[in-house]
Amino acid sequence: MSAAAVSELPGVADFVRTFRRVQGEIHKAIVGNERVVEELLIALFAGGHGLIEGVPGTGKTTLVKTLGHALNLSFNRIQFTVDLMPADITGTRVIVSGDDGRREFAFQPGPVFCHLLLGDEINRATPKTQSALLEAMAELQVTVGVVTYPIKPPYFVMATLNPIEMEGTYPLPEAQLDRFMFKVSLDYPDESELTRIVSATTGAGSEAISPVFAPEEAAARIESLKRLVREVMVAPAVEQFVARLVRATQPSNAAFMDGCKGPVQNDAVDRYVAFGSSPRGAQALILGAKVAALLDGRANISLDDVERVAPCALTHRLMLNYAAHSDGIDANHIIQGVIRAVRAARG
Amino acid sequence: MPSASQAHRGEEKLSLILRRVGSVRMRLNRLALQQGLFESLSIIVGTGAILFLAAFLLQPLAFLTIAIVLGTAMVVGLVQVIRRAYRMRATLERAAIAADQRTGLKGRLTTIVSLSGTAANQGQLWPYLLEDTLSLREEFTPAKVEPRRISRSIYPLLAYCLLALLVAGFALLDRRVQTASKAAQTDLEVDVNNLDVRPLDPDLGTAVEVTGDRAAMRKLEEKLARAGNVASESDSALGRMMGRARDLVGDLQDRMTGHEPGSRMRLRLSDSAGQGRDDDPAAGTPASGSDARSDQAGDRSASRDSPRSASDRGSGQSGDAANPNQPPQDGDRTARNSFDDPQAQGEGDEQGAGGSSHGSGSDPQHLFGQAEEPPLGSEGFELMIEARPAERGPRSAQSWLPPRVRASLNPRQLPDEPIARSAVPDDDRAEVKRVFDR
Repeated sequence: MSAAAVSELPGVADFVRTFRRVQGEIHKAIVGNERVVEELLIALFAGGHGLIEGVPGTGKTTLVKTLGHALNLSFNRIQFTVDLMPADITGTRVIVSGDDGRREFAFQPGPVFCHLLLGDEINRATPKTQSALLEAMAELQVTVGVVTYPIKPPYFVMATLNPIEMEGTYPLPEAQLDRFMFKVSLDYPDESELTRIVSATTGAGSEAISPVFAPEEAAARIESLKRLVREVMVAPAVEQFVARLVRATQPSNAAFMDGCKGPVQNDAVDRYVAFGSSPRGAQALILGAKVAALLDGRANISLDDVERVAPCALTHRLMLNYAAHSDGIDANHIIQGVIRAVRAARG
Repeated sequence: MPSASQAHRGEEKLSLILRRVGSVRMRLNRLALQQGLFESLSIIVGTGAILFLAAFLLQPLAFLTIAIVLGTAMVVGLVQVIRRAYRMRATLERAAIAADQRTGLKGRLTTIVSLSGTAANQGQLWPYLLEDTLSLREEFTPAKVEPRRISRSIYPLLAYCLLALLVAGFALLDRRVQTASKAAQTDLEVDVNNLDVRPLDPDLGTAVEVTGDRAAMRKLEEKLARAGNVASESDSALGRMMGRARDLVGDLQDRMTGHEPGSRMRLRLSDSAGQGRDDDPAAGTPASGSDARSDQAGDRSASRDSPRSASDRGSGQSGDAANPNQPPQDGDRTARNSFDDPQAQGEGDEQGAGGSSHGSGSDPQHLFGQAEEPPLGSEGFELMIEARPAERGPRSAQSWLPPRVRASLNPRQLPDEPIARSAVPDDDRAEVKRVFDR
């Protein structure tokens, strides 16, 4: 990396500096899991949403709350339960009394109207309620009745999942999963990390999180950084690689493939994958790779950047079949195989 | 929007980078060209050396097979090599990809080369990309991207050239040995009546040139015809075609190896039985292709080296220039004719020189008198015994005996013991006698 070149161009340098500052603030509260935190921030600066999976106590909620504090954005939290209704998320029309005594319906915005939304244990709500987030996540707007209410950017949804308590949960529908740009998994801390967690959280005081942005400029700064990400250049060869990668996640015998096979065939995909990644997966790969390239001080993305973000961008987009579950095959294993196959086909 | 001077500086940087990538491309293409050239030469030299060696070591048909296989493989190999070299040629974009991969530039050059002519280079980060890449220009010099100036495929070429040199040395050695053996070679002279002709394996070329007078050659022809009747199955169209192919390939081998037809051993035939009645001025004429070419004779050289004898055969001139010092011996001739040539028996009878070999015991005048010298000649005779190895023939004089086997007795079985002699009671003596009498 040419440090001199970066210092002359404040755009890239400012991006890297800001990113590292936010990352540092988060790690005041979150011990370890550096890669997961970085991937979540990549999703945030790429303009996507994040799905955080982890066993209880690994700091999922703390991570998102700390992120809200560090970015100094408006932050709301929804605790998803089975009796949560869509209107509880989006808001509803209520009868209010005017100054002149007249009563009329007025829209009462729900918690979805914010910059950073934490959807805690999102899989505990019914699919109907979960789907209430679809429009907000994809189009930054909420439609109640016949009126559409826009959400001010930046807008990030960070949802958490508990993978072990499956009783009383509702798996997220594929459409909902596809709206999340990245899915990251918080690992259980090792012994040294656990020691640091204990010493940091059981004392009299804890380290305060310093906001990286001032409240009035936070949204604007983040939006400008997101625009900078979009400026990163992509060579046609890399775009072709991404397209081939996403295409290779589709089983060749899928009904919607209409019999046309891609240039790269993978036996594991044909055997274990029911449905592969959607085109949103390719978008996530490119946008995530752009942020990764900026973090490396480059204005162009490379194949390494794509491979770096591929697991978190594609894992939740692969629908595995029963054979995969019975053979103990996970989506990450398949994605690694697909990457190897596409690399080999490229030569 | 960038100012005009900024745009100009950007253009200069871009052209600088593209020139560097162009020089990388040139080096890659030069290597691809070298690889195609060296591999093609390797195939040609290697195939030629093996074929040349095969010309020395193999019989014509085996050489023909090897030549066809190697020729086909060479053509296929050349096509493959040329196609691969063509595919290896680098465009500017491929050179940029190679430079990115080999120098760790992480796609910078690929992006610049592929986006240089598009609207994407008007973006905010384009100047940054150029500046950043230019700051790393020492990383993508042609020498760093591709350190080799000469393709590695020169090593197989050198190995094949060494092989070719070894084969050439072998050929030189063979030529010297051939020259020495030619100098030491003397012609053999054989009586055609003592010559036994039979079908041989066509591949066993004897490298013998046969010459002789007309009578001897005619007798040889008759013997060849008789032998040809035995092996007439091989005289089919396919056999003739194979023979012709064998001759052509043999000629080719001779040209490759430098073997001269004159270097073959010369076999001079004489006909002691026919010298007195059929002299031929064409003595010393080699056997013609049609005379001795036949596979049955097994003499490939005779077929190729004596085109003259066909006309000589019909000339009808007499004379025995080959063996003027050998007078005809009636006794010998009669004996040989009766042994080799059944038609000659009549001549012997007319001349009445049969001696005691015919009429003995029937003509009373010949029953008694002086004992005559047996008309077997002074050369003696030769018996040819054809034997083949066999473990036990059906008419073997010695019958086969099973080997002796010593086996142990059954535990319940008692060994044979002589019965002790005992006295026969008087009452039983009559009964015993009656039984033995019966």
